[in-house]
Amino acid sequence: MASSQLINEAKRAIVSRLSEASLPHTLVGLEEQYKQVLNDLSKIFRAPSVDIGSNASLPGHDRDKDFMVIQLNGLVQTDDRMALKEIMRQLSREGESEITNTATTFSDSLPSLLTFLRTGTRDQHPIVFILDEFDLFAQHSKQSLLYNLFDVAQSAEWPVAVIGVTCRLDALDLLEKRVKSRFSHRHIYTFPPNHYHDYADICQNALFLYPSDFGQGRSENEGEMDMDVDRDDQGAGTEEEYYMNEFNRRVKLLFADGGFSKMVHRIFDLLKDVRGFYRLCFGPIAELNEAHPYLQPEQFYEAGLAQRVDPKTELLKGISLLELSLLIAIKHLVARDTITFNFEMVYDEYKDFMDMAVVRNVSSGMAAAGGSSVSSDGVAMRLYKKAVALKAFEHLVQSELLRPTDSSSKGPKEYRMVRVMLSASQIADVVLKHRDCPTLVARWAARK
Amino acid sequence: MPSDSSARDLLKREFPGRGRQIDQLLGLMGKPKDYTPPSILINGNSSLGKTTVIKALLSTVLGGGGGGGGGGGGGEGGVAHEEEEEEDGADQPLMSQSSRYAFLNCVECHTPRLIFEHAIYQLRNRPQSFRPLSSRLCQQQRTSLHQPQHQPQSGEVEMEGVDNRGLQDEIVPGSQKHPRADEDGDGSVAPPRTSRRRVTKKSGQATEAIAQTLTLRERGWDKCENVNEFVEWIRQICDSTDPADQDEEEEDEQEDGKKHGRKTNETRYLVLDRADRLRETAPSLLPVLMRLQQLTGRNVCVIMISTIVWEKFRSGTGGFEPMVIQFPQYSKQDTLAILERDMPIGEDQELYGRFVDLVYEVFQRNCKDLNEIRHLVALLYPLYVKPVQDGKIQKHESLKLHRHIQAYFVEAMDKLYLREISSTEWSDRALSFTPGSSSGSMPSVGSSHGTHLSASERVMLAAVNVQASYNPPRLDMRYFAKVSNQGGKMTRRGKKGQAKKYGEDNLGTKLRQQLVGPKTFPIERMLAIFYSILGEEQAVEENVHVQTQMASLVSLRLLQRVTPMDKLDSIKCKCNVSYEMIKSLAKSVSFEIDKYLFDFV
Repeated sequence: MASSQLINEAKRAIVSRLSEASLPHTLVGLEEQYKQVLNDLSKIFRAPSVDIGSNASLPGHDRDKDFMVIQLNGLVQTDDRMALKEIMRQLSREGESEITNTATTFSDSLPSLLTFLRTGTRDQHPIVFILDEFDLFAQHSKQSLLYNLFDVAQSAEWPVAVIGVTCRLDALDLLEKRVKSRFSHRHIYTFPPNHYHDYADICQNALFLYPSDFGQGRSENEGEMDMDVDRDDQGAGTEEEYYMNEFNRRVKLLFADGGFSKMVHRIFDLLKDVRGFYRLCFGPIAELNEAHPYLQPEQFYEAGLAQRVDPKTELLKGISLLELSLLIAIKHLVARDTITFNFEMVYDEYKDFMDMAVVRNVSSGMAAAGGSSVSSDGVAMRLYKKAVALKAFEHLVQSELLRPTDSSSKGPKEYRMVRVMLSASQIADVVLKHRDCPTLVARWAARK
Repeated sequence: MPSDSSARDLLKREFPGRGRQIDQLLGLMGKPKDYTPPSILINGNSSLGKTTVIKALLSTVLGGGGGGGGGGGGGEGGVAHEEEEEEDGADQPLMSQSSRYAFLNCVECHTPRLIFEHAIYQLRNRPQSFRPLSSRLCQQQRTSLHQPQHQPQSGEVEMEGVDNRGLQDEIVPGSQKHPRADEDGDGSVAPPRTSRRRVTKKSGQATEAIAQTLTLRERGWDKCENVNEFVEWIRQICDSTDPADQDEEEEDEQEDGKKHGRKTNETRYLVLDRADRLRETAPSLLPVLMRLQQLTGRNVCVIMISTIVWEKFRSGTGGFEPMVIQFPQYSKQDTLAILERDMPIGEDQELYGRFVDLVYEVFQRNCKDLNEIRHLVALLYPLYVKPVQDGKIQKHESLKLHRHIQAYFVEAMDKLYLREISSTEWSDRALSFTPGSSSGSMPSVGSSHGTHLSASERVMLAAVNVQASYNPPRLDMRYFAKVSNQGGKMTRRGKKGQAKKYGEDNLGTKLRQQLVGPKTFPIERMLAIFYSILGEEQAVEENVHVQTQMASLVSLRLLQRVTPMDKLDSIKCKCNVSYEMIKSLAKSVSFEIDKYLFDFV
C-alpha cells in the first residue's frame, strides 16, 4: 500500500510535467533535431560538453553553467527597447556584465551592450540567445535588435549563438535583406508526431514515474535522469520502487485499454497536440489518493467525453424557453435566406408562431385566461411583450451567439442588424437537449 | 485527511449544486506548492455562482496568507494548516504575509497597466483581513433587493462560527471589506489617482506631484507599465519568501529546488473576472496570460471567469488552451436551497418553502437567471403573505393563496427582467394597489417621455417616422399630392391595390420596412410631408419655427443626424424612436397615422 506522501510526490511530479514546468524525460521523434542543435552549438563553442535540447526542451537545460542563456519571448518583449532591457537584466544577473541600467534609452544602451559583447574574448563563457516567438521579433521596426545580434554572432570574438524559435514557416521572409544576410541559414524543423505510437509514447512518458520523482535524498544513487523504464521489473526493495513500478505497469495497461486508446487516438486525429492529452490528464491525476493510488481507464472516459461536447451547446442548455423560441425563430429566418436580421424580424416570426399556437389551442378549447395558452403537455406558454423579448434577445447578443453586423451606435436597438453565430444543426441540437422544451415548440423547431 | 474534507464540506454546504466543480478545482489546486495547470477557464451562464465560488474557494483555502503552510512540513493536510492559520490570523494581527491570489475584474481594470498594477498590489500585500459579520448585516443583505450578485447567504452563521469567516466575508459585496485597500485605492479609486499623478507632474506642480508619489510609494503601489515588467514582477513576487516560512523554504530548496532547477514556491493565483473584456482592452495580453506559467517559469495559475465560450477567445498563433470547467445550470433542489437562504428571519419556513416552490415552477422555464428569480421572490413574497397577515386566508389554505397571487404572477411575467422601477418603489406601490386594475400594481414609466413635446413637434415626429422613414419616396405623391379631379388622397381601395402592386413580393419575407427599421431621409422631404399634413389639418401657423423645432428634436436624440455636422446642405436624418411611441404620439395629436402607412400590419 502506497503512503499518501508517495502519492503526493507522484502527483506533483506528473503535474509538473503536464503543465510543462519540468522537461520530459525522453524526446520522442525529435532525436535528430536534438543532435543537430547540439552539433551546431558545439561547433560554435568548440566545447564538447555543451548540452542543449531542441525545441521542446530548449528552456531549462542551462544550469550546468558551461554557457549562459538569455531567454527572450516575443510576446513579452514587445519592442526592442524592452528586449534590450531584459538582456541587460539577465546579463547582470549572470554576473557577467558590469554595465548597469543607467542608460535608459534605446540608443544609449544599445552601443554599450554591443561594445560589451564585442570586447569579450574567446575564453569567456559562450552566450546563447533564445528568441521565442521569433516572428514577433522580426516585426519590430527596423529589426535593429536582430540585426545587431546576428552581427555580433558573426563578427565578435566571444562565442555567441542566437536561436530563434517560431511556429511560422515563413518567418525568414520577414527578415530584411541586411538581417537575412547575417543569418546562418541553419533551419531545424520540428514536426508533431507523425505516427500514433509516437504520440502515445509522448503521452505515456509524461505519465510514467521516474526514480528522480521521489527526490527525498534517500535514493540519490538512483537519481540518474534517463533510466530506462523497461527495467522496472528489476526494481525491488523499497516501498517507493514498488509503487513506481506498479504505477508504471498500470499506465502501460491504461494505454492497452481499448476505450482509452480509442480516446487518445481521437485526440491524435484531431489535434496532434500533446497538450490536448495533457489537459485531459489533470483531472484524473488530481483524483489519485490513498484509496485509489493508480490511474484507472474509467477516470479518463468522462474527461474524454467532456472534451468532445460542444461548449456552445453546453452553454445553451441553460437558456430560457423564451430565448430558445427566439433562436428557433432565427433558425427559420436563416432557412429562408435572411442571413442578417434584426430583433423586429425575429419577434415577428416568434409572434406568428405564438399566434398560431394560441389560435390552435383556442379552437381545441384549451385556452387559458390571461393570454397564455396551455400546450398539449400542460405547459403554459405565453406571448411575451416586446420589451421582455428584447431583453432575452440582448442576452443572446451578450453571450455572443448573435453578432452585430454594423457599428452598434446607430439607430434604435430593435433595428440593429445581427448575424447568428450558430449553425441550424446546433440549434436543433439545443432543442433536443433542452431540459423542458414543450412538444409544441420542439415541433415548431423541426418544421422546415 | 479529515480537515481537508471539512473545508470541502464547508464550501459544498455553502454552495449547493456546485460540489463537483469545487472538487474539480480543489483537485487541480492540490497542495499549496503543487503545480497547477497553466490556466483555467470557468465557463457558464450568468448567475451560476462562478465568481462567488472562486472567491470563496480561494479565500478559504489560501485566505489567511497561504504562507500558513509553514507549519506543515510533511505536506499532508496542507489545507488543514491553512485553516488553522486562518483562525489564528483572524484573532491576532497577521505578519506581513503576502496574498497568494489576486482577484481582478476586467471591467474595472480596463487597461493592461491597471491589470498589472492591481495584480502586483494584491499579490504583494497581505490579503484582506477578515471582519466578523454581525448577523444584522446579513439580515440587511438578505432583505435588500438591490444586490444583483448571487451571494448565497449562510443561514448557519452562528453555528459555523470562526470557520465560516472567510465565506462570510465574501458575502458582503457592497460593503468595503478591504480596510487597506480603502485607503490605498481599491479598484475604482486607484485609476484616477495614478492618472492624476501623471497629469500633475506634467502641469509642473512639482510639490504636489512629489507628495503624491511619495504617498503612493509608501502605500506600496508599484508602477508597472508593460508586460516585460509585469513578468519580472511576478518572478520577484513568487521568489519572495515570507519570514514565516523561511525555514521551510530553505529545506525545500534542498529538496526540489535543485532538482527542478528553480525555486518552487507556493502557487500564486491570478483570477480575472469577466475575462472576455480582455479581448478588447488588451488583445495582446491574452496569450501572455495563458502562458504566464511558462514565461515566468514560476508557479502561477491564471483563472479566468467568463460567460463566453473559449472559441471566441482564440486569436493568432501560439495561444495555450486553458482547462475549461463548466458551471452547469442549477437543478431544482439547488435553486430552492439557495432561495431558502434568502428567507427573512421570523417567517414561517413551510409557508416560505411553498411559495418559493411555486415561484420556481411558474417562472423557471422562462427565467433561468437566479438573480431574477430571487428578485421576484423578494418582490412577491410580501404580497403572498399579506392575506395571511391580515387574517383573510389561513396559512394552510395553499390553493386560496395561490389564486390570490396568480394575478401578480401574470403581471410580473410581463415585466420580467425589465426593472422599470426600483424594487422598494415597487413594493411600496404594490402593497397599496390592488391587482387587476388597469393602472396595475406594476406601474410602468413606459413611453411617458414623449409627452413634453409641443403639438407641432409631435406632428413633425410623426411625419418623420411614418412617411419619411418607412414609406418609399415614390409613394409620397400618392399620399400627399392634392390631385384636384379625385379630391385629395387616395382611397383605401387604391391603397390596397398599390400595396399589392409594389409590395407583394415583400410581404412574404421579413424585409418589410416596418421590420427592417427606419431609413435615412433628407430633411427637405420631411419638411414637405410636414407641411402637407399640416395643410390638411389646419393652416400653418406663422409663428411655428420649424427649424428650431427640428434642432430640438435632434438635440433630444429623437432624430439622429446622419450627415456630418460641418455639412450644411442637404442634411440627412434618421428617426431614433420606436414605432410604438410614434403611434401614441400621433394619437395624442389626433393624427391617423395608419392611414398614411404603406405595407404595415
